[in-house]
Amino acid sequence: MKLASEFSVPAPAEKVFSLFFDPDTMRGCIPGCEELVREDEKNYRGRLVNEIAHVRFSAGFSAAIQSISDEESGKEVTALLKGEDRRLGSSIKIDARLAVRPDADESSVIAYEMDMALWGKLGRLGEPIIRRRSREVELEFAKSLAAACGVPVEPAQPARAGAPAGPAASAAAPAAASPPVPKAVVAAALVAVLALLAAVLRRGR
Amino acid sequence: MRRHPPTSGTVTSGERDATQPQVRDQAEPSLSNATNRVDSGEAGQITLTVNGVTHHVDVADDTLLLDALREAVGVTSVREGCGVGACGACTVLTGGTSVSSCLALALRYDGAEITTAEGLDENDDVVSSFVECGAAQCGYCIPGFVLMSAELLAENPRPSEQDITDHLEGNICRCGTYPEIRRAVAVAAERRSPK
Amino acid sequence: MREIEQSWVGGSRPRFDTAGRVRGMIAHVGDQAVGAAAHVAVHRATQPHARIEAVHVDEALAMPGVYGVVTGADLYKQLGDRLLTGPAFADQPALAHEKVRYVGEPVAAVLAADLATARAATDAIWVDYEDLPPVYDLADALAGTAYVHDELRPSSVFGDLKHLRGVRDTNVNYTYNLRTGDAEAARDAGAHTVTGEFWAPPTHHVPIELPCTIAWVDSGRLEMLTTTQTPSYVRQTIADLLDLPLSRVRVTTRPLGGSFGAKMYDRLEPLAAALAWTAGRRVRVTATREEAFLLTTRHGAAVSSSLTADAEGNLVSSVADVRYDTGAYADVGPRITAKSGMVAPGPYRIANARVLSRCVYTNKPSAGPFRGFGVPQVTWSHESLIDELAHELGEDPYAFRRRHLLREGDEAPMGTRMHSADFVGCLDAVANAIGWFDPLDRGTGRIRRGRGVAVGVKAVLTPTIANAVLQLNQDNSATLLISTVDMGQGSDTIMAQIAADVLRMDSRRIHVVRADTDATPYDTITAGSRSTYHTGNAVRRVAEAMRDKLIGLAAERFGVPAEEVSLTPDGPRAGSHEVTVAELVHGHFGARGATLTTEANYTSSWTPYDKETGRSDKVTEHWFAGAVGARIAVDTATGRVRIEHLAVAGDVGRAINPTLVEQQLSGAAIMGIGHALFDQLVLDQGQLINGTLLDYQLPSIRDLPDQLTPIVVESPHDDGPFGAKGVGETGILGVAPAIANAVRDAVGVRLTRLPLTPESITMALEENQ
Repeated sequence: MKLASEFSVPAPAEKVFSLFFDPDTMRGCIPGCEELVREDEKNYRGRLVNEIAHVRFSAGFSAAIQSISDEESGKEVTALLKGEDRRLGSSIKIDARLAVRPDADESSVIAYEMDMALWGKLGRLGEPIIRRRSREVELEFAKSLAAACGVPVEPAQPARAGAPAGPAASAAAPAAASPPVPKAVVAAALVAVLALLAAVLRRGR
Repeated sequence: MRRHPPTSGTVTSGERDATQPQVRDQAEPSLSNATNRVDSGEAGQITLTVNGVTHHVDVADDTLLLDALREAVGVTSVREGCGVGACGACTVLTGGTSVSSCLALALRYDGAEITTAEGLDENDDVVSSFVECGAAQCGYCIPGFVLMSAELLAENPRPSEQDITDHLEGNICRCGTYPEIRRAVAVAAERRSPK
Repeated sequence: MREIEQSWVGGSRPRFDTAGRVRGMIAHVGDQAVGAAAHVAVHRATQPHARIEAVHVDEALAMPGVYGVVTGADLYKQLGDRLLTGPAFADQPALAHEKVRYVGEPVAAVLAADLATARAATDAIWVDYEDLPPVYDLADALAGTAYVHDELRPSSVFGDLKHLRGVRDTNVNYTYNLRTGDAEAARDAGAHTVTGEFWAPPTHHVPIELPCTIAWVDSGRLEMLTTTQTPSYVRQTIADLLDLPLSRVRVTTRPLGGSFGAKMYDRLEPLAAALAWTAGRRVRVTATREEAFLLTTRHGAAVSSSLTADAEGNLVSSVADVRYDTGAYADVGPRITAKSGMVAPGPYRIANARVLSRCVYTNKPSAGPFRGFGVPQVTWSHESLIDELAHELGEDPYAFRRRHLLREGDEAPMGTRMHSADFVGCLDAVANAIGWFDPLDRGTGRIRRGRGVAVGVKAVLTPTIANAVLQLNQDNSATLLISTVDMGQGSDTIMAQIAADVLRMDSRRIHVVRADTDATPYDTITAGSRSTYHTGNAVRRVAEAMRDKLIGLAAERFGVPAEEVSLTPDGPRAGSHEVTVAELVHGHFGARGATLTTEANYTSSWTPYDKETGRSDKVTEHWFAGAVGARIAVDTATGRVRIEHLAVAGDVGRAINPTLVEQQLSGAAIMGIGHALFDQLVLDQGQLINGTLLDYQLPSIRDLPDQLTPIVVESPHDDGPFGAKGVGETGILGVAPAIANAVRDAVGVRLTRLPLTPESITMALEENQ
């Protein structure tokens, strides 16, 4: 299933980026993210733990960065995410594309687009439930991020689910030759995707 | 009409997964299809009066009424078709009211008077009209239709065609016996309360 | 008519044990006591296509009440390649071995003291997978970059598939070609051509009875009680799987709570047999509704096709490219591909026809037989095309079809002649029923009315074998042993009617024994609408043999030649000589309760189709002919279709029991309404997302048309029992196109993808503006 949306964070792009460097902030923004390890430049491994309705679950996941583009006009990352919850007999695979671009009035826009395969018990939940839940989590994450920026403002209305992500995503140039490692963007990509993963897994019970 | 949701009680429906019937420990199970569950919740004994006969049944706190009826009482006209209350094959009447026994926890029915299709007399208006109208092909789902029809006629002795549709739409007959079923209910109504 | 005659051929006697069905007193497989048994639950794959690196079972094994956990590797160690079974290709393991090929494939089986424990333990199993590139749909499969199977493995069942053994680097497991005349040239030269890209989605049978298999070992024999339409097939499969002589395998059944193709070939049985045999204990395997959705499905099918008429409006060319999505395992898909591909041009006189029909593997739950055996999917295309061509030519769609329909003796495009296939009679009957020739109030404002018709043709499964054994009891009752399975179609009733008619006895005194391969003789399968004709012929013959035996005994007793003896409902008669059957048999044996036994066989034959041209002068024993007429109203604001009148006609040769025939026609039509308007399995990247009855919509009493008219057309078959043929599938063939054609008539839009949801209709209306 394809999910796409974008949301605005009421802080300048530079401030958002700097927060992405702070693991504590990020951990606070991702529901249930207990562990996030960078294995090498392109591979991350982590674990989401949560307890819903007295059922504790623990889902391992990996993230492999596929491409990076870091331009003044916008930054974009594509990543392949895989997760598995053994107790729930479910696997997830996400091809994700995430873009960040500066917006007017000292704010920035995070846009994501993902093709998500969800297999096993969670996959049977059906698309409407997952769309609704992902939207809830997106708002939650945007709120946390805004709070972390010290600007408690309601996030902008996301684009219609299923629509292509913002212009930044489609207009982004391919990865430049040996770009500097844009940790901020990598983290942002992970955050958005992990938030979704967590959302989906939480809904499992 | 959808069958009535199971009665409320101390156990909330969210606490168990209805797709995983969990039955434990009957002394002499008739089918022993899912008995002697090793790791189960606390047991209790309930009394079910099924088709006029009283049964004392040991159940766990998550035993479904469907499984208690099939495995401990031995009535096999009550059937699992979907496990989610969507097909009506597991319908029973408790005190004359239809219930999807695949969603109902047995503990909540302690002391209940339950009627299944076996319990209806062969000369019962509904049973005899279903037979005469040929309202059964494989017949698997028909006991559920019979009970829903009995409930309908008890509430509404002269149902219109629309009333019949409204009351039976939650039951599925995959053989497609609906025309004969609709006719049978009309015949039963006429038989029970002639114009 | 005397009451006894009502119980013979042509009488609408009530179905066997209607009273028992109505009160739920007929015991099904799941109702049988099993005693102490291991209850089985299955751990299922969470990947569409992956290599199994490790299966972790220790945690599950440690759970109290768990007897054992078995993996595909465990079974392979004991059974080797025999683990792989299937009716056309030996490609499906009872538990995944080395690879998983669809989400939900069984990977490991837990045997436990009770079902709840077994199911809980499956959650404690986990599997390490190495991803393989998934083949999600027909487009992926035909792109030829990833393969569901490394090589093709045709089974030994069908000799004509031998040449496919070992073929690699393809997802196409079978191709059927029809080449009659030069269809492409005729199309290019033709004056009027219509084309379409048609899609019929995968659907599910959803018989309300869930599948269940109980298997055990007794005296070194594997015995089982199972929900199957194919006991003789299952016996052979289990014998092959366990390398046992047929005499050491016993398959028994009970009446089925519906099936429609869901409970045949390899379902729960190979797993149950393998577990019982290797564990040496009784096992009970059942499926939840969610699991039943994964056991088999109806093929989703894409058809790219064209139909061409010359300047005079005569059909000159039919071209079709048919792709059946058979999922991860071929099942009987290759057979469906051929049998349905050959009727893709429809029941019309067309000199030039070209069909390419392919059976394609994907990483989805396997697709197998479903009422209609692939034919509804091609009927969807040919009946939409011919309707559109009639519109293009400005002709009446009914009259245009009628002009081109095959008549008695005509050769169909695949080379076989028509007999006992009254397409014209069926079409006329439904057109008359829905008032085709009367003025139609087409409606104003948002409600618009329209009418549509469709015709269907299907070949009966050929060649097949039927056997019957009859025991006449001394008290003039009888026991009929056949392996036909009654699943609601009424075979236990009509087989008794056939035998009773021959023997001039009350059919209610004949009991039909439930299939038990230790007792009832071989019968190919109960499927493909073949039983009335094939098993019915075996039953007619076995009864004739019994009649001859009785007449012989009576002739001896009377001291007259056998030709002078006739059998009457009161017993044999010859002039003034008379005796009852009870006295006759008692006199013969000198004992009460003795039995006379006869046996008979009926086998149909065919000429295999040519590999290059797909043609055969006898591709089938006989044909099914059906037609559907629909009068509907479309709410143009919501896109909702209301069926005001649906008429469904089938040529059944001769109705053995007219009431049961009408129920088969109307029941099939109601199932067809679901396929037309809402029924479909929704998969997202290999994951089935509507596999519960909360999500999967089935026709309810609310979906009944305002008027539903089943019409029995009788054009007797020369070789049918009393002229009869089957009827189980005839009614479903044309339902979806008849409704779509009526939508076309009502609002002017042609929809080519099923189902015709309100959204698809409103979208088409918007595009049309």
